[in-house]
Amino acid sequence: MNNKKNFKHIFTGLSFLFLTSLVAAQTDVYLKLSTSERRPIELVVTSIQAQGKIPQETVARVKEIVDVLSDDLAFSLYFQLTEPPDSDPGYGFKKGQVLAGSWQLLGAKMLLIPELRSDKKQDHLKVRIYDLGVGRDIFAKEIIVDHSRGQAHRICDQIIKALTGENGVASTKIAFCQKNGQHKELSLLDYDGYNLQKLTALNTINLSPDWSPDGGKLAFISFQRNRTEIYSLDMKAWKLQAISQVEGLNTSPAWSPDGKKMALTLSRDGNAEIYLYTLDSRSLQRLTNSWAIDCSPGWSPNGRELVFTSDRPGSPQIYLMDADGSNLRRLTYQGNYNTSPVWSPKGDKIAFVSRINGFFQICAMNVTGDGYVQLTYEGDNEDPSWSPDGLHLAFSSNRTGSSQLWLMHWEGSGQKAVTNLGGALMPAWSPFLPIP
Amino acid sequence: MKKTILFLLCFPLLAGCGVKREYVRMRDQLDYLETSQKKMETQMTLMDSLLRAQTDITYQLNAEMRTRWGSLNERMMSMDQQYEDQQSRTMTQALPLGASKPDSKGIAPPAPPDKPKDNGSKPDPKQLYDTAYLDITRGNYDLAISGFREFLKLYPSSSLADNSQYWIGEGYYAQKKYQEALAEFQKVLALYPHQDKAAAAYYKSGLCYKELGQTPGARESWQTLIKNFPRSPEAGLAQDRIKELP
Repeated sequence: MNNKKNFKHIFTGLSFLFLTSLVAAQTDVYLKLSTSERRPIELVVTSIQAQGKIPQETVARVKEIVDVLSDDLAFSLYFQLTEPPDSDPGYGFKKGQVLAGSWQLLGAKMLLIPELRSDKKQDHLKVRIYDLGVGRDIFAKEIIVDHSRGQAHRICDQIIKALTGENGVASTKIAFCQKNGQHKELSLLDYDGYNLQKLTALNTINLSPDWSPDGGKLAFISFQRNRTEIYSLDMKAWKLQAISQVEGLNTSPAWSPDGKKMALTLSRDGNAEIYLYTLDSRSLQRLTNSWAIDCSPGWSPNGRELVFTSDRPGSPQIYLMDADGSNLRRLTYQGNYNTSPVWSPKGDKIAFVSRINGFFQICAMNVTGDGYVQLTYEGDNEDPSWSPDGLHLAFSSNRTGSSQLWLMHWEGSGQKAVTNLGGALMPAWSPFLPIP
Repeated sequence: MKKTILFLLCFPLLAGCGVKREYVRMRDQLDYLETSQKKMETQMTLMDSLLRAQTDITYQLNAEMRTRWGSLNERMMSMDQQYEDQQSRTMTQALPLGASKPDSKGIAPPAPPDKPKDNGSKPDPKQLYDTAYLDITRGNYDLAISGFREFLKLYPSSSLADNSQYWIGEGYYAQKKYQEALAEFQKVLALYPHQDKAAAAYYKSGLCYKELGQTPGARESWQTLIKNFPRSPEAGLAQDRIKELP
């Protein structure tokens, strides 16, 4: 009897230790997701678990939303999705309970379980993230299904936020120039290429869209008055405002991270130079001064430095300088044609266009001058634009014949076209947008 | 006799009852076994997932231990190195000029290193510099400042020393700590007056003076810049700034 009691005490003690270590492990797992050496979490999206009798049609329509969510999660790079076995829709569940072992056999660490119930008028979808290691839900969100893709995008971002503390990009948008006969107008897409919206109908050529950091405005170049001028479009008030209409070229607007300034390329002093335009005071400060062409400025995420293209060495190369024009240094020495630099929002990398064997390719390198890598190989690839989390790039490519928008991950993997229009170029990936 | 016949007649019946009872008992036992087996299965699945979780934790702990052990090892090696350096320095200082070997009385002096061990325990200079610079671009200014200070302490004669000194100033400037920034930019000018960060340091010193409301200081910095580095991009910027001064 005594022995039994002792055993019971030992067992209780062991279970306590075991549980505490589980709690510790749980924190560890979720923190690990946000470290720089990201190891994606193996996730299986299970079949829809219908609560009660629900028509097959409804299940099929909700499945479309779940598929959008799955695509978002897979693209995010935070998860690696494994397919559940097609043959058995009830696989891995017994009377509604998760059979952890069956899923772990597939290599899964977590499950996304979509649960569907219907009342008279509405379908309720509950999205659960079930951690197989600790045997419980670590995220749950119930929505009334409105069958919009935006709903799936929002849940994806909420899952990523809850599990990693980071912002996801599923609800972001991409502004770009859409070819329309002789004209190019600005349009807007969801980040995955759906939900096309026209932004301008100015019947002229409009180029180089650039988002204000709050996502409320777009600066761009317009040929409305038969010369290049910079305008800003307020997307809430649908108001167009002229920013720079000085003599000569007015190009490549780049909004500063604090939204108070804009770096521009102007040629009013003879050749193209970079200027800093303060929006409140409408004052201009010249930052570069050389016989060469200095253009296409881009900001460092802290707003203290600029990256730009200059042909002062005889061919276009990428340079860095402090945002007051001082402390100039050359970044690229590879090849003889490097242009269109964009600084990653994470601060560590700069993507740019390099001419390699007669074709334009997207390349990237560390801001510290090393780690040069070519990211594209087919056709001409131009106009790189970082996602606000710094994990993906949008760009335009003519590899399929006409110029279309493409996305890829930061190291060049997962390249996919997101448009199939008459012609699409100059993508500008939005910042994280406030949820409407 | 009658009793025997009756018994013989009843025997199959009684036996039948016995068999049936036995059957019921066996079925109960089977049911019990089946339920137990199911329970066991559930428990096994649970144990299995717990075990997997536990294995994961063990791996993580192992990895963490290895990392910690590695860094501890590195620190110990670095301390050993420092101790050896200190020892050899003390020995050299204690030796009278021209003396070949100390009278060690059985204690051997530290053997001269085969090759300079300087870099053995130090972090890689490029890596240290790059990490600090990345902290600047990410806006982690305090981290960046301490990174560059560490760099200067370990590699004071590196070709990146003037850059490090400049970025310390920039780290303060970005935080609007103009007095501290000015002191650091002045240090660039004092220590590395002819290297590539000098012109930028003059320009930034002028900006610090301007922010501090010290117009004469700003003017003087920019004028010296124009005089000393007339062909630098900063000289052009300085001319514009001087025009804006009251």
